[in-house]
Amino acid sequence: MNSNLLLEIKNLTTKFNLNGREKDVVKNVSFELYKGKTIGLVGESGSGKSITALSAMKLSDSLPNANSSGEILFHQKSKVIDFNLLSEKEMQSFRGNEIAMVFQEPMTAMNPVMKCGRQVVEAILLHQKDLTSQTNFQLFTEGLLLFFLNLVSPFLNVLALRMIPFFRKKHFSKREKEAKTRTIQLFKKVKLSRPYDIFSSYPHEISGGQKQRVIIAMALCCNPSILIADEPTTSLDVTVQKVIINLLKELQQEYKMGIIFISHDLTLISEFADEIIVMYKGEIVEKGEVRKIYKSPKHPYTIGLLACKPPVNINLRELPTRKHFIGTDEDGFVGDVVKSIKDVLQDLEIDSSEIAFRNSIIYSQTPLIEVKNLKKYYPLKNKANHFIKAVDDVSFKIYPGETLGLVGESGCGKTTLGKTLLKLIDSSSGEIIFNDNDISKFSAKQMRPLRKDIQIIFQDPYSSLNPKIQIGKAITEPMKVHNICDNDFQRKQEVIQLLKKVGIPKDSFNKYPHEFSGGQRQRICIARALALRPKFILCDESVSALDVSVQAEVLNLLNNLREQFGLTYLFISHDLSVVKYMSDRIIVMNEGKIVEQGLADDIYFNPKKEYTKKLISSIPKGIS
Amino acid sequence: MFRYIIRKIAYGFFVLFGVVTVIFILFNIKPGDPALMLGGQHSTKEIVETIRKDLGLDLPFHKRYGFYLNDLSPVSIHNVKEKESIIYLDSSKYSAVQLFNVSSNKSIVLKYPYLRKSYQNKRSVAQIIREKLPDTFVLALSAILIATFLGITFGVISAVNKGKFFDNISFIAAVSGMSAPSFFMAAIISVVGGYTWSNQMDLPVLPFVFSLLAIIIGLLSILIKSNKLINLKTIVTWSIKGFIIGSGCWLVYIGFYSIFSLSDWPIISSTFAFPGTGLNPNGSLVELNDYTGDEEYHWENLILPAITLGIRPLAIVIQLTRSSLLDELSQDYIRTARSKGLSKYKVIVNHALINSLNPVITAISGWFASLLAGAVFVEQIFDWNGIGHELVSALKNDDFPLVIGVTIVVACFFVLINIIVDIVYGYLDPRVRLN
Repeated sequence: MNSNLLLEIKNLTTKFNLNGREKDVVKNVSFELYKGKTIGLVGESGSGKSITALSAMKLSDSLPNANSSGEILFHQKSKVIDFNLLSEKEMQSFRGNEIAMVFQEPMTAMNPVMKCGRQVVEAILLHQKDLTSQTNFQLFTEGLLLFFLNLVSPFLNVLALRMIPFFRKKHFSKREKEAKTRTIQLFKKVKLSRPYDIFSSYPHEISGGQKQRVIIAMALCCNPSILIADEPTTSLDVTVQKVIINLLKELQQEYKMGIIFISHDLTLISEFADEIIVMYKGEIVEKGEVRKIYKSPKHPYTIGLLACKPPVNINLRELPTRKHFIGTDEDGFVGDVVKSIKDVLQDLEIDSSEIAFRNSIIYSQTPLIEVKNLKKYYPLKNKANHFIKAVDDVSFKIYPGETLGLVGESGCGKTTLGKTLLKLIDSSSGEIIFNDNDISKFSAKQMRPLRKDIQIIFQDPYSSLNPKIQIGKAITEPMKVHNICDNDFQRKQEVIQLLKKVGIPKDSFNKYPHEFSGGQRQRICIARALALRPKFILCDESVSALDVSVQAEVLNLLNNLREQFGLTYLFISHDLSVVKYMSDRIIVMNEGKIVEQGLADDIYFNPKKEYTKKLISSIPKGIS
Repeated sequence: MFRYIIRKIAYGFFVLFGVVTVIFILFNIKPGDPALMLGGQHSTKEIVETIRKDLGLDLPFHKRYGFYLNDLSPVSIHNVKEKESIIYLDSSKYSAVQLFNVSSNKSIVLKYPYLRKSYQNKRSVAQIIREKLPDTFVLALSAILIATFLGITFGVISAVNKGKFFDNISFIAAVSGMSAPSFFMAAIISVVGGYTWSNQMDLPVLPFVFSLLAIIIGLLSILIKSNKLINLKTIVTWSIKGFIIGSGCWLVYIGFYSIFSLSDWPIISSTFAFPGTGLNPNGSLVELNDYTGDEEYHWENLILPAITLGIRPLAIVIQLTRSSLLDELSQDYIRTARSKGLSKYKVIVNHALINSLNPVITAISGWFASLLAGAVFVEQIFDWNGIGHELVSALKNDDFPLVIGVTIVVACFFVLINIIVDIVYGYLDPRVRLN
């Protein structure tokens, strides 16, 4: 038997019990994890990769009505332990201690009312019994004394008029102090700047990247032999993603951990993992060494996954989706591979003369929107003359028929810029010229007729549709407000036409949003925006919440509609590869200012500014 | 923080002003004349007129309102020379400091708000409230404490055992608690706790035997089924289950007892005496000793009314805690806490509970404030010498100063409790912590 074997999963099956019907979300999954190696679990949302990880930790019961069977064999020195046979209480000593997990959403994965440091200390105190060389009796008496001291000291503090420093602070035991120093060391190890400040701050006071590092520190605090990372970087910026991935690599070297890395991004995983497992509808469809899978994928699903990602170094007419390679049958199951990726890409490539021709037409027109020295400052509460400069002196033009990409990290002011442009919030100063009028000074009443020319598609298709309103009604409502079409019958006809155009089945007029998948919902949002026959659409991270294959379909749809309706887009995203594919020109923003703007190819291939170069180098390129 | 409290108090003054205005208008548009009430049935027109003049009821509405506000306001204008004037600064009414003169005989004074005198017995309203309020406050506070501690405990237990036996029982209990009107519950609790069960209660032996049997059979079946050691929890659950089965038997027994004259069978009809509560059906906190005339504190009189008053908030707190805790338990950070290897108990107490307390605190604060005002039925039935009692008799007798005085005090409590709750919110949740 291999002594490096850490975790062996055999025939893991997890079932959901939905109203009496059993549904397999994970079917017969088996794999092995070795010491110091990384397994990449790839798949789209709903493919069962997260459930596999949760089942491996026996945490799948945190999801309602789930139960899992199969063997999860954990090899500890000479013993082999099957997690599925352990009780909840026995399992607790393994969780966090031997097998730890980093979660997808750092924003919600931390307890909001507990200080960051405390959340790490808690785990250390739980698992590391030998922090100090105190006997049980000493520990007990110390704990009892401190309990009473902490109980009375607030009252004594008030009685002593806050004069005696001894009563002013909370007292900690020797063990807790030791745990604190360990936590600070860990914070330094995960490269958190100001570890002492972060120790005593609440999760909402620190940024997403910092939170993710705290969570990594939390997972590493007991030197686990297995680390499960469930999409640890998906909700983070590319630059932060790169840092976190590098950090994980370093820590793996140091601790010789086995890592299970879950992601939907095959390119990202290929840079990091030793072995890749591709999952589709709860089953493993392909499994093997990373280079083999990335270079010559066998299964059609894997090919689709690889090809859907917008390529950055060539310009395409249309993004390849699964339909380009594979015939799918009615149930959505994949059939045979018809073409290779290379052939498809060659078919779809546009040559540069065509792009130059298009550009020459677009940029000879007068601009549709002209933004001059736009500023949006938020005053800071306690300090006079101090402002948060969300948008700081920004000027650009948008030409009719073009797609202008706006890219930057979270917090750079791109969403604020979009909202200011739409007059959803008022600007501090500057001009927005639309139809020869400066709309930045318009009142809400003056804006109303203009609203139908400017529409927005939001980021989260799940929350931007009212769950209690049928989608037909949701689309018709703005049409009524702006008096488009003469009567309800015509409006309904129009909406059905629109739904057809965006690829929604025509009998869905009276359905509710929860009956649709994420991609379909985003199509509905697009239809809602189009219903007003706008000239200009702002896409605010419109595809960021979608899976890559769905993302590709929506992006193709947006491009088709642009040609059909003569639309103009401002496309906001943090994902440079998506922006690069979609846009004619790109604006790079940082800290409220425009860093660089220019034609998409110029920006990508010859970036002038340091920041743009950093952004481009952070895009995962895969292995060559 | 300090500025925030000051601002809240300033808002509170507006609230009080609104309350005074609304009640003043309501009292003036409602039919009935306090002067007629005071004069009695056989009073002549002259007497009624005199009383009206004495109470200041003969003045037009806007003047009465103005003078009342003047009395109420801490800074007000008063006549310092003419004794005949309505706004004469009478030292028996006001404890005031003169600030400065505005005209030859009028001056601005700083004083305690003057709530006037009760129409019924000519006693100062402030005095009456000062006497009665502590009793009501003690009653409302103990009721809300019962509701908070039991409610949160039961709420947590039923959230942890979601969909199981205890959860269902506490749900049924909570719904019946919410739907039982307080005068109904007050009557039942007063009779059962203070009268029937005061000395001793004869309980039939049969249901207890059945309970014991049910417990033993249940525990045995668990032992046989799972081969595991029985812990305290299973014993407690099975005792409750057994007790409910036994009580069911008792109910059937009561039905059969009279129909089939089961009293002839000694095994079935035998009872045993259960020690009584020793409580009175009514009585208040401070009572005079019948022989010596001294004031004595009877804290045991608090038990029954506090339980009665606490039932409805208890039911609501149970349901709120349960639902909001279940909400929190499905959050991502709970999964993180579990992945650290924390036990179920620690996950709930250290992580989920604090996060789930916000709606509970809102409910408790609202209930506490309204219990202060709304303990009317309970105080009547238990003869509790509190403010609700006083309010009812004042309303019956058109005693305007007393009604408005009580209302103002209760409104003050509402404002105060709101401020306290905001501070507690900040303490529990750092995201809303006040600057």
